[in-house]
Amino acid sequence: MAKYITKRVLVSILTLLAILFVLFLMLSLMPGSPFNDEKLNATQKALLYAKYGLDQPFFIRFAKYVAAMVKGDLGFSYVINKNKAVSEMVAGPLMVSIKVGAMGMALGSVLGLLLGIAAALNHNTWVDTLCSIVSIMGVSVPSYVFALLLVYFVGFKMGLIPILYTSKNVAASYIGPMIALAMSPMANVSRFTRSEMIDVLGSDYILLVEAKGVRQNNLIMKHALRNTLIPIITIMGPILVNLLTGSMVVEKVFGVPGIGTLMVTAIQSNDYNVVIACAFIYSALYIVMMLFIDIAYGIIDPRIRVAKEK
Amino acid sequence: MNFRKLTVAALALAMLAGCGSSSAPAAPAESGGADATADTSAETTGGKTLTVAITADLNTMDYHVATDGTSFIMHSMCIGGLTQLDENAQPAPDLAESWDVSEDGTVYTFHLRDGLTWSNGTPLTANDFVYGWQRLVDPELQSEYAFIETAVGVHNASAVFNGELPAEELGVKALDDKTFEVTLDQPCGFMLGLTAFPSFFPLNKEFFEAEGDNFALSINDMIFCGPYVMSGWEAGTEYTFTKNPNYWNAANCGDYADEVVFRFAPDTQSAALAYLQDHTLDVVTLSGELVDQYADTEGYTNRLTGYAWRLEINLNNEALANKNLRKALSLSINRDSIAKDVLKDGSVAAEGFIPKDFAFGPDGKDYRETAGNMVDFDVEAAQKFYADAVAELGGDPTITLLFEDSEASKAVAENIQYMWQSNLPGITINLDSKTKKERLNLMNELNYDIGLTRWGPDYADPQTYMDLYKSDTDGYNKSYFSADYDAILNKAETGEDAADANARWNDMIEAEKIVLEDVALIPVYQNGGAILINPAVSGIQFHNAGVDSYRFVTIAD
Repeated sequence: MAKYITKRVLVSILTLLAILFVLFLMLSLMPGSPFNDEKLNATQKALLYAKYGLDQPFFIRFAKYVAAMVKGDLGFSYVINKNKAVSEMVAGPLMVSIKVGAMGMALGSVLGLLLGIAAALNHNTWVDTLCSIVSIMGVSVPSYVFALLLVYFVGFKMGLIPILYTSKNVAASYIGPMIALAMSPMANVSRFTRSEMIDVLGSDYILLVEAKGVRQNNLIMKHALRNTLIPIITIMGPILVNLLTGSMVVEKVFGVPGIGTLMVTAIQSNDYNVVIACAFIYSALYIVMMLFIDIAYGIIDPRIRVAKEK
Repeated sequence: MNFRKLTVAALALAMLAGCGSSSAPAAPAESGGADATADTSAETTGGKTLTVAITADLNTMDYHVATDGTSFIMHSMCIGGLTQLDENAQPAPDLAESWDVSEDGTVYTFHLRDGLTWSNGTPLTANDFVYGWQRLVDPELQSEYAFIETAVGVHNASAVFNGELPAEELGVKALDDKTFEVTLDQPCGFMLGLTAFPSFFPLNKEFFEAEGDNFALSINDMIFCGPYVMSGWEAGTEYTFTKNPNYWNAANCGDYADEVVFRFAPDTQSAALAYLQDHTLDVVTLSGELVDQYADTEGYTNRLTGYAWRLEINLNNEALANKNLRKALSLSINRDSIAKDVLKDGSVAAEGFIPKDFAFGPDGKDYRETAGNMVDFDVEAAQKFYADAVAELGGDPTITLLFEDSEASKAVAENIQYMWQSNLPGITINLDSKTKKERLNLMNELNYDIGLTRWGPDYADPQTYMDLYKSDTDGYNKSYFSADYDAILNKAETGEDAADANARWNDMIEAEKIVLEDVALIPVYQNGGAILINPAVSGIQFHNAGVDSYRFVTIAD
């Protein structure tokens, strides 16, 4: 197990480095610069480039950036929050985004599981159809549409949740974004749970368990659900990506000061260091989650761990 | 099957519970949100709060390096200048109670008020202005707004900025603690309007040096001297300003909003809904389709901005080097229709290069009123010029129109394309949409045919526009060079007419005529803005040149 985890961690670090390189390259190739304001003249621009070290060759900048990054220094912002350390700028929004994302993910997964189980147990009945409709909607409608619907109906018409994030009532402010973000995980998890559960329930060993006279609650929770979970964990990765990309727009709609909002602002203003930091954080979050999922596999299903160790 | 019913019931319950209890896990977040707020006193005292939606986030509270409107608005809430703009956009005293101007108009002596202090109790003196003005042109700082001090013509400003002279040689000095003297190279008619601009705000040297690199990065790294102090800075969310009891005029500010909150709301649709919902937001600027959608809402207001949109022409393009073609293009645009039918946000058709309602002449009249209309819509004339152009060029030209990918620019560009192609049969117009940064880049590299671009005034004088087409304007890369244009502007700005306000004003008008006669550019429209303002709110000042002011806002019960 230790060897397996070490290998996975090393691969993750290498992947992150490669991502950083691509990010750097893409930003260098992007048209414009943080300093091409209409009001700047050429001499000033050159001096600003020199001041921030942007006049140096690509590889030197990259090497310097990586070296500083290892020490936790993500450089300074050129535009948004000018001259502020990027590491300080992203810390707050990152926590906000993680909170909202984790809540959305948790709510979505739990609801998805319940929906899926309900659909599987009531296979080919109206419950199944209803669950399918809900999950198809969840998969096909992007999260920002849900966000807009929530803002309009629940926020504006009913006045149940704040339309815009407010620091005076953070808890209530999280409800809207959380529900909007939960939709896609809920739909995906419920679809997979349903089909896996149907498969598992039709399998020979469940028949055996039933024949042994195990009570139905026990049968579902202990025998069927556990085997259903494994394939579901595999789809958590892609679900997470969906959630991350969705969070950018959802955060914007609700005015949540998260990393998605920050990243969009940074991209629009060519604030290189902030864009790199945000994109890197997104990638790191994703890779770390994948790592966890890989390790979680091993824990849930000893066969995988053993097979991989061999 | 009992279990089935049970799961369905459980599911229904769980869904309800999932929604209802969802606030529970979020509760601890309250303390761990973004940056801490220092003070929400207005809530406890039951004072009146004005909440303004901003679509661009605050960039920096360091007023000597700021470049964006949002930041400037916040600076002028909490820092004071020598002057401030009144509701008619005329300079009125602020930290300076009076000033003298030497007879030749080149030496300004400002007399500061008695007993001015910063919010930390430090006395505010003329030295703070000297230090602020020196810092703006400090070559180390590389402020993007340093040019504004050069534009005013502060003695030695360029030399100091270029590192040729030390900061001490800048034409500013403190005659004593209460007297600040500025020496200009030539008279400057818009000097007193500019001293209200944040770039010219004072800075306390001791405080600044003690702060070092942290200066203005949080509310604890700033000191204030304006009518408000910044009391809350939650990055990406809210910026809160509360009354400054140390402000010189605090005793007379009692009626104004106790608290002004600038709320970053990147999504205008949500912001507009928050406006409708009991005015959670009091002021929301609309854009795009929302302008039409909310036009009948109570509190809908139109304003004119100082932004003048024009078509910049690359004269290096073979076809566009032909003056008849350029004339035909200019004459075949129906500017009124673009403003009224396409934009519908209070924009008006351009009457020239210089927009209206932002610069006033020595007689107090608006520049545009004196200069009159200089552009026409005349399809017949356009077609004549076009026929000549086609004959000279030996065929119908194909031209690419570059614009940025905003909703408004796209609509305007598409309409211009339609107008040109239908009014000038034979011409081919291609559209090229780019991001704003890329558009600026392409235009700066002269890698375009015609570009839809804009300019906003930095100060209340036509010179802020005129200088763009002067040959020696550093950095602004252009294809138009005219000795006549240069000569008349030099005469007005630094030459024999500089001291004569009337002659200078007439020179500006002549210069505008030259650049439009040459069709170096095609004026299109002056930007309007559509805003929702809570009807209970009054006293917001929108300034076309200079910074919008929320200093004097009252809120009715």
